[in-house]
Amino acid sequence: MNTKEYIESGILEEYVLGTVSPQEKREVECMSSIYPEIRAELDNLSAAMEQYAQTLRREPPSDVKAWLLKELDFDTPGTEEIDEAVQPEGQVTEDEAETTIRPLYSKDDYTHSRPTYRFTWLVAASLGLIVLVFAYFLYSQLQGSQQTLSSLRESNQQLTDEVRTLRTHQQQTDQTLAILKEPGTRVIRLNATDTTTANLATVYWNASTGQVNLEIDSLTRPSEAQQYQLWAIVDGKPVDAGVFEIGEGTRVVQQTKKFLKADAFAITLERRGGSPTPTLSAMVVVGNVKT
Amino acid sequence: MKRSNLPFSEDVLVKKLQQREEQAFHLLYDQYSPALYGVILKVVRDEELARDVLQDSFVKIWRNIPSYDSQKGRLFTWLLNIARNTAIDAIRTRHSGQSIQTSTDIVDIVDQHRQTYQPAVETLDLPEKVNQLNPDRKLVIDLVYFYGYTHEEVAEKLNLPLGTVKTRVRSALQELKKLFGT
Repeated sequence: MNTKEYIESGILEEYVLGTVSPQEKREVECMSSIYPEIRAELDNLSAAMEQYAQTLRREPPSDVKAWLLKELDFDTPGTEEIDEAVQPEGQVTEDEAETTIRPLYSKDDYTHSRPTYRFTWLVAASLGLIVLVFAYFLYSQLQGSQQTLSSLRESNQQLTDEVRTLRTHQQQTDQTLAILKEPGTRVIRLNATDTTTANLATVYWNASTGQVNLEIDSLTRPSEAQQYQLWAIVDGKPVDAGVFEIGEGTRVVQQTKKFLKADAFAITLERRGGSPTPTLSAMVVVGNVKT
Repeated sequence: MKRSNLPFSEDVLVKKLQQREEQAFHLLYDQYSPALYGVILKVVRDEELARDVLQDSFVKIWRNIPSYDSQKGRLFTWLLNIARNTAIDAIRTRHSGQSIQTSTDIVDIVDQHRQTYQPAVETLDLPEKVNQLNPDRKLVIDLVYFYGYTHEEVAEKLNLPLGTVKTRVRSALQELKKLFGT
């Protein structure tokens, strides 16, 4: 580094006159801290400007100093002086200590604490606001959850109902299957006499055990005064095979009467309690064993 | 030198100032306020404003004295810079909108040059030395140092090439250094 060149570049003069950029300012300060000859030149130039400033001396208005002494904060030096200054206040608090303990705010401290006080309030207010907003948020969340819960409950109920229905179906299907699996069981379809609809009921008849099971597929429900009655046609004559109800969900009815022999099965609609002889005009379905 | 009327060294004064000792403030104020006030007055040219600027300057000095580092420069120079900058800021705020002084101000400055050479009694020897300074060079120092002009602004106002201004600034300070040479 050629310090002579640096000194003669004019940067030091610019520095002293205050026209350098902040970057140049740092550079000059760095250079002068490294090279004593740069420091010396800088000091000489500064001293020259100081001397120039001294030629401008004017006594300032006397109240300026008084104002500054009042406004600037001074530290009282020495621990003894501090003790003396604190002592009277200390005694006052001791006297008052029995009743209330108050913080020792001097007038200055109070004015200093004002912004802090206001800031505390600001913080408290914003916290309150945040809590309110959060509470509202939680409330709406709760409402949403309750709605979801009730709709879930509803669908759960639907599912339970469905499962119950399915289970009943399953039981009936199992029952039907069990009957069908039994060896010797014959399936006799009972078709409507007016032939409009097919397969209204099915009779599962086991010729070896004589057991008769009736499965109702789509018979319409009769009035309260009437009942369906099943007949077995044995040797051309109808024999009562028992009345049955069409209840909800009941599809397979096991008849108590057994037939070891039958040509056909028929269902008639009779008055409640059944009839000893079938009212042929009221025959709903008939199914031939032979076919 | 005037700075030698301190009862202790400048370093000790700075240390005491940094500890916010009132006694140190008295010494600092008594020692430097006349020169600072003179500089401020030269910049703002209004006693009322100069008074406010002096107050502001000392408030800034008091606030910033903890960060003053004697390794980076002389104390008086540091004080002068604070006072000068505060004064320049004050007139710029006053003529807000026109950061650069009008050409009539230049005339004022040049006029002022002739007036201010009445020496104050207490510093009788020094102004004579300043008078020995080449007037053109002195004007450049005043424009840059006291009125905060950039070199470009000086070149424009004095209708000189920028290079000439730079050379003149350097030779002006060198001349000043020789005049007050220690």
